[in-house]
Amino acid sequence: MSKNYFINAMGCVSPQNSLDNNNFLTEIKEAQIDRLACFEPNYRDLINPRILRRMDRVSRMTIFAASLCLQESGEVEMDAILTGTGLGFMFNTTVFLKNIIESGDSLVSPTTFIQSTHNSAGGIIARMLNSNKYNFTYVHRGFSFESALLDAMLHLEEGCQNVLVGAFDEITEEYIKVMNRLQSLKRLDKDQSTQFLDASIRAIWGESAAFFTLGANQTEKTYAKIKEMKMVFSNGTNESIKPEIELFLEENGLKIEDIDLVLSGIDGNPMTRKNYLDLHESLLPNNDMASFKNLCGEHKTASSFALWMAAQILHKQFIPEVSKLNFKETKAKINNVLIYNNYNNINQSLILLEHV
Amino acid sequence: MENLKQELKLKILEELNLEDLTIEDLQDDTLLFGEKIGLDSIDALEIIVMLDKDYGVKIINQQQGIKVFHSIQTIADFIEESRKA
Repeated sequence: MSKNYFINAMGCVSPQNSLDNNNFLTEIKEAQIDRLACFEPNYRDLINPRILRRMDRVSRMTIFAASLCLQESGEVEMDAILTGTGLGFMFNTTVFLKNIIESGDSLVSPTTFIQSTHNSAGGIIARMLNSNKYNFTYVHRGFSFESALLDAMLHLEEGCQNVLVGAFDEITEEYIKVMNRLQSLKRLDKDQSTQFLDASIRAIWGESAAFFTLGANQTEKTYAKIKEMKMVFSNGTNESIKPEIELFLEENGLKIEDIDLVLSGIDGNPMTRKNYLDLHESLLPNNDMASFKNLCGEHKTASSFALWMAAQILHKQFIPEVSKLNFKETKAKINNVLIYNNYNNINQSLILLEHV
Repeated sequence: MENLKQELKLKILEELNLEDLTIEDLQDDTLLFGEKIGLDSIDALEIIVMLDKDYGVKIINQQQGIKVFHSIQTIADFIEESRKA
C-alpha cells in the first residue's frame, strides 16, 4: 500500500488521563500491584443515559473513547466502522457463563448475552451514528487492532474518505486469576537491567479503549499520518523479525537511522524479552527508544494505545520522560516513529508514522 | 404483600440498572412501560428471567405479560396468585 492515512481525530480511555488530547500525559498514573486499570471519566458527559444503563464497564470505556473521537471529528461521515478486540466483553461473558452454570441456559439475562458478543461495540457506535455502512469487528488475539487498522487502510485505498477504527480490551479479576495461574506475566529480576530495559519496568496487565478517525486527506486537526503497517506472525519461537523490519523500512524508503523514535512494547515479560532485546541491541542500538506498556499495561490491543501515544508524540513533539528507555541525544525534530509490538512471540506488528 | 412490593422495586432498580431512579419513583401503581420509567422489550425479558429465577413463576404468553408488567402492584399480585395456585 502506498497511500497516506491521516489520523484526523482520536479518543482514548486508558490507565492514564488520556481523555483530553490537548493534555498529553502530564500526570502519570502508577500501576497497582498487578494491573493498570483505566482512568474512568464521567460517562454521562458523552453517553446518553438511556444507552448507558445497559452498558458494562468496558462498553462504557469503548463508547466513550469512540464518542471522544467522533466529537473531535465534527460533522464527518464515516464510510466504515472497524473495531478490534482480543477478548471482547470479558466481564459480561463471565457473568453470562456463570449464569448458565448456576441456573441453566433458560434463565440467562438477555442483556449480558447481547453485550457478551464481540461486535456489540460496533453495533452501538452504528446506532449512535445512524450508520448502516460497513461495520466489522476483528477478534484476532494480538492482531485484533492491527486487523481493524488494515481494513481501515484498505477502505481508504479504495476511495473512502473517512473511517472510524478502534480497539478495546478490559482486565477482570477472573482473567488475572487465570493468567496468574498460567504465569503469563512475571516480574523482571532486579539484576536484569539493560540499556533498554530497566529492572523497574515490569510486565503488568492493563486495558484501554482507543479510536481514530483515519482520513484520506489532511485537515487542520491532523495529528500524524500512518505510512504503513505490517503484521508478522511467528509461531511462539524467539525467531527474530530483524529482516522483516529492514525490509519494511526499505519498502518505505527509509533507513534505520531515519527512525527518530522507536515506540517499543518491551515490558519485562520474560517470554518476549529475548526477542525485544535481540532486536533492539542488534538493529536499533542507536535509535532513541520509548516504551508504552509501562503506561497502559499488557493487553491484546495495547498497540492501539501505542498509536494514540505515537500520534501525540509527533503532534506535540514531546516524549514523556517516564517512557524514555534509550536516548542518545534529544532530536531537534521527531519526523518518523516506528511502533514495534510483540504479543507472546506470536503476534508482532510494526506501524510507521510520520509527522505532518 | 408490602414486603414483596418493596423487594420487587429494589430488584427492578438494580437488575435493570435504573441509575436515574430511586425507590420513591417506583410507586405501586406507576406505569412501568410508560414515559416516566420507560422500560422496553429487553427489560421485559429481564423481568421474565427474574420472576422465573427468583420467584419460580412463568409468563406464559405476550398477552399475560402485558397485563402483569403494568406496574409493581400487578407483578406482586401475579406472584401471590401463582403461589396460591
